[in-house]
Order: sequence, then structure tokens, then C-alpha cells
Amino acid sequence: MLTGLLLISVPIVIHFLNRSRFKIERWGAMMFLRRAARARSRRIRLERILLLLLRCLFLALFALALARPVTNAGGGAGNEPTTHVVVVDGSYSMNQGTGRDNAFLKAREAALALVAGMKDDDNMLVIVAGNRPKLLFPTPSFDRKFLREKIEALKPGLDQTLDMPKTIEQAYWSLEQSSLPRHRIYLFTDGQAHGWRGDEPERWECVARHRGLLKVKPGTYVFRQTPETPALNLAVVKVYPRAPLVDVFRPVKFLVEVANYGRDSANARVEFLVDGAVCGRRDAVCGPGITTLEFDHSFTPAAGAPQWSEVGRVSWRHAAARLGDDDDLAVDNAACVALEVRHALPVLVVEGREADRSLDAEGGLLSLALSSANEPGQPGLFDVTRRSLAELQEAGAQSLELYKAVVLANVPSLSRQFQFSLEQFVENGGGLLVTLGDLASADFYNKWSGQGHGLIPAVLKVVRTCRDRPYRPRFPAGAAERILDVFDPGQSHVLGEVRVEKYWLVEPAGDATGLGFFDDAPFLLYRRYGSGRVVLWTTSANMKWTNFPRTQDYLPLLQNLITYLSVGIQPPINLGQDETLVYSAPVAAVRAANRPSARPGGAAPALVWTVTDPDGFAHPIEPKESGGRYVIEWPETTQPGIYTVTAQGIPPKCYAVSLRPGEGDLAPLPAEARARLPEPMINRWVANAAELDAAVASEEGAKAWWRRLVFLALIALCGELFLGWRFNG
Amino acid sequence: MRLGGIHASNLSVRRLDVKKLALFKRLELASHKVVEGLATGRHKSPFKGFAIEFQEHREYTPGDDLKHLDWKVLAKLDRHYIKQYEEDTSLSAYLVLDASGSMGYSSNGVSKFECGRFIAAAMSHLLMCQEDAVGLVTCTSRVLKFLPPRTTKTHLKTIIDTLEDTRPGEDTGLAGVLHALAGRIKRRGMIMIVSDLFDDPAAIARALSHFAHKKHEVILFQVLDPHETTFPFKDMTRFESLEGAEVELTDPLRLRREYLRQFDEHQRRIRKTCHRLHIDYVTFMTNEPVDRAMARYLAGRMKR
Repeated sequence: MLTGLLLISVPIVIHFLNRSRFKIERWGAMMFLRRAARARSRRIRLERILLLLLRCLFLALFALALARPVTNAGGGAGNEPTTHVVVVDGSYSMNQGTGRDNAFLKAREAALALVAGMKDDDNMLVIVAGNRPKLLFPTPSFDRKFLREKIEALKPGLDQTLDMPKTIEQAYWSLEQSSLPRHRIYLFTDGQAHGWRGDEPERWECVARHRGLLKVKPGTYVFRQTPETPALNLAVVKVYPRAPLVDVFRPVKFLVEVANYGRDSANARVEFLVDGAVCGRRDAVCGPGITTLEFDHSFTPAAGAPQWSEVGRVSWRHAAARLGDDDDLAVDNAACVALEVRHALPVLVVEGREADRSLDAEGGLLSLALSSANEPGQPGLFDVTRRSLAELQEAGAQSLELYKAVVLANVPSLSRQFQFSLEQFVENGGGLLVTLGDLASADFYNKWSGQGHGLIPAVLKVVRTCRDRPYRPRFPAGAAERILDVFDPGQSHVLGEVRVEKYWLVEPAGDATGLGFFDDAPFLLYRRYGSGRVVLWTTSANMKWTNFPRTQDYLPLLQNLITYLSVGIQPPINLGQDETLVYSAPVAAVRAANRPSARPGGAAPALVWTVTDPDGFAHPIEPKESGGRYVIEWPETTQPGIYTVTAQGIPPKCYAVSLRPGEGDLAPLPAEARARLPEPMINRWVANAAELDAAVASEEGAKAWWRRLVFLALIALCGELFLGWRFNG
Repeated sequence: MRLGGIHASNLSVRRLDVKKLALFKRLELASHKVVEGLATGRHKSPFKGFAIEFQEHREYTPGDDLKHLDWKVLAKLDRHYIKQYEEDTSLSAYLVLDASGSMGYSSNGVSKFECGRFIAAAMSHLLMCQEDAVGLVTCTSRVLKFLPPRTTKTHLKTIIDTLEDTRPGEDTGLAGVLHALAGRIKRRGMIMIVSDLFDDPAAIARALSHFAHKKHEVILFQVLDPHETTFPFKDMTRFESLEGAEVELTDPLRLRREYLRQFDEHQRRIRKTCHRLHIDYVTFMTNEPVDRAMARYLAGRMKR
């Protein structure tokens, strides 16, 4: 707006233009003109300068008025019209307290009192604070009745977590639109430390910078609304299966984390539910902090239940844990998790060596190791198919779509076509385990590693041999806990019984990660490739180079490894609040399930899927086709709980949305943390209206100048017109 | 464009409308001063014994001097006749026409010079009809042409040719020229000055005093353009002098009041001088009919 000051140049330019544009008159009575000019020239010049100055002054004042300048009016200048921004904490922690002692109700009453105290030329905006601050109406309103109705209609939030820096910034954005000279922000909150994000100073610096850019610096006042009685809050913060893959063959251990946000121990009764049915109940004494409880559950394939499988069979289930409602904040007393329960994992073992005896070949031993997880004579988790390299290369690329994982066991090399099929397979979410051996061709694998961009995560150097002092695999702490949780997670582990006499010395390529090592050389190397995973095993998978298969760690490690590789990297089914839910299914499979002949009536129905939210409301969505899959996205995941996606012909799929942790911690922002907040941002913490009045009285206020400037501009204009008329006679 | 009864296009002195001028014929230009050589009964003359020759009779009209009544005819016929005489010219009149550059100004198609030239021609014709001797002086800051007074018919043509051939230009120096003329004209007579009088009024006053001192009767015809009297300009204007290289770039709106004040002061001083010296002072505007203005003046003069 201040660029409007350039308008000043307009009359000056016009002045000089006028001097260069004139008429010519051949004149006789020069003697009078000369005398008149001599007598008046000085005065005319002065008049002209005076008029020019008045015109410039008018335009300058007008431009300044448009810029709406404000100046610091010093303390106590409280009569200027004010824009009030009322921020009501809508996070679920505001539900603490019962009846009239409820924190949210108290905040609402205080906000209504502010509306009652507004002056006629004040206006107000209301923001409900949460993880996403929400404006109740877009622009500040002068209508008290409207404001009262809006505030009275506010309900305490059940799902929001407070993000105070974001909320204050939203208030600043809104105040930038206000033309009133004085701005105030009132924060009605329970004042819990979590929402103030004291551990994120860089965000507060952003807010402070934003405040620095404001023309009118708002006074910010915090009303802490807490119940009279100190609150006790227990919360279920997390439920999760310990193993990365849940199947119907093995019991699953679930861990339930219960947080006690108080200072004293509290008794808690925790119920564990699977698919909404209570499966376990436990009483525990929860000390301050996190207490972890364990629940065991075995999934069995329900008789007649549909089992959908893109590759292999899977069903989607959900588990939850909940506390009794006897604490002060019930919203966070439950948490849930969505589960993908596997009914089978089809694994293809590609045999590199032709051998008379099955166990002489690496693939034979691997197949046996995986099948050992199954009960004798019963179908198990691993559905192993063993094929020779020659058979597979004849079969072509399509055959890989039937598997979740592929093992290349001491395979010397592959045809280019099969290489490409494997790359596609892994990129689409499949798992690949490559075990090396005496047949492996370094040239082939090194070419396939593609200098870090190919499928193989390492460059093969030489075969290392040491018969006198065999190598022992070592797994450093934290390298791959989810894969190697057969060991004690979180601790370095050395497989003492294992003797490795030979292995391929490799150099990690690209973003490969070492999971296990022989001294300084990698034993297991892992990398992501597209949506799938690849692991390179640098010694033999049978007993040619090592005694590993004879040790007790071999089977669990191998089975876990294959399980981990089989899961693939898929869009998550356990989401945080406001994360977008994405569901997809292959077009071919969906069309097959919806074939007209497969349905009574014949005609193919319109493809409409539904998302059912935790309250049971179904939202129909038309899927879009993208990359050979039908895809739907559902961003409205603010409410925690189980969301179910139902598609025609496909079993429902569950997604779990969890509360953001931390909001349940009702501990207030400590005084030292308050002191660390940027000083001008928060003027005062007040407890009641009297304290607010006192704070406002000492507020550094702003004085608006635009009305005065418009008035002065009009005076300048009138002066210019009058003097122009006078001077021109 | 019309100048009252006379078209602007007819202001060419060579095409003087004799019928129009005949209107003035009865409005005789009678001198109120005692001038030398004026015909008996028309002009009071201090000198005696001027020859007069009988020309014709005409019927008496009230107002005629009874001394010219032909008593014999009255006795014989009982009718009143006046004897008319062909007089010898004895009034010497000088027409002084200002031909300075400022006289060339025109805001409406007719310049002051054209108007003044017409006045001079008309007066010459009128005086010649009265059988007075008329001379012509055209001047700028110097005398351009000096035609001594004559009464012959060819003299009128000479005057008109001279007027036709004169173009306005050069600086004004009217006062100096008048001084020179006052010194040069020995015989008392009538001096008719046709000018815009854009010169120092004090100098003009001194020159006119010089004429008065020499007992000349002076008539001042001031010719003005309406723009010079009203100064109606509004936009930024560069005024370029008609008499030299002088220019003045100014905002005329701002200057108008002062200009008019200066102009009025000049006029007031001219008027005052004329009043003091008993000089007839007549103002002609170029947008007014010249014939009417002349008729009005001559009629007024007759009443005196």
C-alpha cells in the first residue's frame, strides 16, 4: 500500500507536462503582459508551488490512509475499536472435569462473557483450536447475537490434540484481515504442556517472526480453564502385535501400552478385544509412565468367512484395548490396531544346483526349513514351491505373481527375461532372498547390482575362506529388530554356535543396509526396491560353507526373514489422525469378483465402494483407476477408531486411526517453560475477568491513523480547490 | 464577418462603400477650434477675406443660418432659399495612422490595423467631401509616409493607395513620432490619430500636449481588440510579441487580473490626458461595426 506514495509524483509530472504543453499566441499588448508578469511572476510561482504541494499532500495522505497505518499508542489506550480473537481449546483434554467443572464448559462461559463485554465497534472471531485450527466463521463479526449463538453451539472435541503454535499463527493470519486498530487474542485452554509444544522452539520462532510482520501487534491472554479437583488420567496409548506378520498358524502376542499421566500409581482394568469381542481382561497396577501388558491371541480362519487374496490368502481383523471409564478423561481410554492376518505365504524357491539328494542342494534345505513351521500333514503358513532354474525360465514372467516371496538359492545366473520379471515382482511388493554359494557368478550379480540402482544390494568381490578360525555372524543392536526379533531385540547378538568357513566378500551398493556381519564384512544386506524388499545372504544356505543350518537359530531366522520379505511395503493400515486412508485393489481381481455372470441379474453394477467411519456412517466413494489398480482415498480420519472399507466382492478391509499420543497428559505447562516462550507473544496468563481488565489496561496498544489521514487529505483537497479558485480569479 | 453595417471583407479602403460614407456626409466634421483657413460659416476662422463662390440654392431648413438666406428670392417669390457657396478649402487635417506591429493583432479575423485603416480612409473621404485639405502620416517608431494636406480629388486616391500599401510591423514609438509631427506641422489644423496607443501614456501625454500647445485640434481614435480588453485566455500560453522577439510563457488565468489592472490603468491615464487637453477620445473595438461607432461619434460631435 505504501507504494501508493508514488502517486505523489503524479501532480509533479502533470505540472512539468503542462509546462511543456502550451498554446502560442501572437500578441500585441505585450507591454501590459510584461508588466503584469513582472508584478506577479514571483507570486504566481509561489501559488503554483503551494497548489502543487497541496495536491501532493492530498495524494500522499490518501495513499497513507489506504495503507491503514497504526502507531504504538502507549499503555492504557484502550478505547480504540478492537478485534477480539477467541481461541477455544477444542482438544480432547478439555473434556476433563464433570458437570459445571468441565474445562470446556468453563471456557465457553468465559468466551460468552467476553461477547457480553464487547463494545459496539468491536468485532470478534472464534477459532476452535485442535491439530487443525478451525474458524467458526471466516471474518470477524460485530453481531453479538450471532457470536453468542456460535459459541453456545460449541461442543467439546473428542478427537483433537492441541497445537498452540499453529493455532496462534492461524489467529495472526485472521487478524491480518482486520482493519480495526487494536487486536487481542484470548486463549481458553487447560494449559497442558503438550499442546504448547515447548519442545519445538523453531516453530515458536516462526510464530514470533509472523508476529513481527503484523502491523498491529495483538495482545495475547491465556485463560487457564481447569477443573477444581486435580485430574487423574490413564490412557491406552498403543496396541500392537509383537511379530511383524500375523497369521492363523501361530499365536500372536499383543502388547498394550498403558500410560499413567499422574504422579501416583493407579489400578487399571484393561480389556483386550479382537473384532469387537472381549478376548482378555487384566487388572494391573500402573505406575507413573508407561506400563506394558501382554495379551495372547490365536487367529483361526473362520468357517465360511471370505478370504481375499491378491497373492496368497489374507483376512483383515482388528484388535483393541480399553480401560474402564473411571478416570477424568475417557476419550483416550481405548486404542486399536488393524491387522492383516495371513492364511498362507506362497514362497518360490529357485534351485541353482541340480542334485540327486534333495538336501544336498541349497533349495532343498531351505524348503525343508520353511516347511518345518507347519504341522505334519497340515497346511502351514509357508506354502513352498521348489523349482529348478531351467523350469522357471521356461515358464515365463507370469508365474511369479502367485508368490509373496522368492528365494534364489545359489543360482549362478538368470536369463534377462527372468531378471526383468523378478525386478517387476519386487517392485510391486514382493520379497526376494538371494543366498550365494559356490555357483554364484560374480559378474552376473555385479551387473545386476547396477552400481547401486539394481536389484542386488551389493557388489561381489571374492570368496573368503578361513578354516582355522571360522567366522561368526554378529547382529548389532538396532540393525533390524523387526526382522531379527528372534534374538533379544535392542542388544547386540553373536551366534556363538555358528561357524562360517567361506563367504562372499561383498561391498554394499547404493542404499543397502547391513543387518548382520562377519567382523567388518556383511553377512546379511538389505535394501528396499520399489514396494518390495531384497536381502542378500552372503554365505551358503546349506552346510557346504557353514554349519548354520544345524544350529537352533537357523529356522527362526530364516522363517522370520521370509515373513518380513513377504509383507512388502504397502500403504499403512494403521494411521494417525488426519492421515489419508488409501485403499487399492487390482483391476483384474475386482472385475473378476464383479463379473455379471457371477451375480444374479447379469449386468455389471456401478463400482461404488464405501468407507464406514467409527460412528457407523457409510460414505460411498467411486474408485479411480490408476496403474492397473482401483484406488480410493479418504482424508477425513480425524476421529480415532476403526474405519472399514467395503468393496463389491471383496471382504471388508479394516483401518485403525489412533489418537495422537500426548494429549492425555494433563500436566500443565510449567512456569519455566512459560518463561521460555517468546516474550511478546503471550502477554499474560490470567485466571479471571478482573485480571484480564488489569492486563488490558497496561497493554501496549495501537492507534489507527487512517481516519485522521482521510480527514487531512480532504482538508488538503478542499484547500487546493479553494486556493486554485482564488488564484485563478 | 460583419462589422455592423460594413462587412469585414469590405474594409478594403479601395472599395469604400460610398453610399455608406454618404451617411456621414451630413454629419459634418465641424471644428470646435479656431483653425486657420476654414470656410466661412463652417469653421470659425481668425483670418478674413477668403473668397467664396456662389454655387446653388437650396430650400431653407430649420437650423440654417439666416445670414445665408437669399432675401431677394424671398422678396420676389416669397419662398425661403439658402444660398450655397463653393468654398475654398482652408482646414488642414492630418490623419496619423499607427502601423506598428501591435496594430496587426487580430482575434476575430479583423486586425486593428485594418480597422484603423478603414477609419482613416473614411475620415479622409469625409473631409475631402467637406473640401478640407487632408494629409496622411503613417508611422511606426518613425514616420513611414508623410502626405501633406491637399484638397484635390486625386489626393484622396493617393491617400487610399498609401493606406492600401501600408503593412503593420516594427516597434511602436508613437509618442516620438507625434512629437516630431507637432514640430513639423506649422499651420494649425486638425490632427486625427488612429492607433492602439500601446506606448508609454506619459510620453503620449507629452506629445499630445505638444499638439495642444501648437493649438491643433486633436482627435484620438483608439482601436482595440476585444481580447486585449478582456484577456480571456485560460490554458498555458506562450505570448510572442508582434513587435519583436519578446516571448512570455505564462499561465494567463493567474495573470489576468493583473493584466486587466495594468490595461485599465493605461486607459485611465490616456483618458485623463485627453480630458485635460480637451481632446476627443474615441475607442473602436474591432468586433463592433465601425460605421456605427463613427456615426455615433460624429453625431455627438455635431451636437456640441
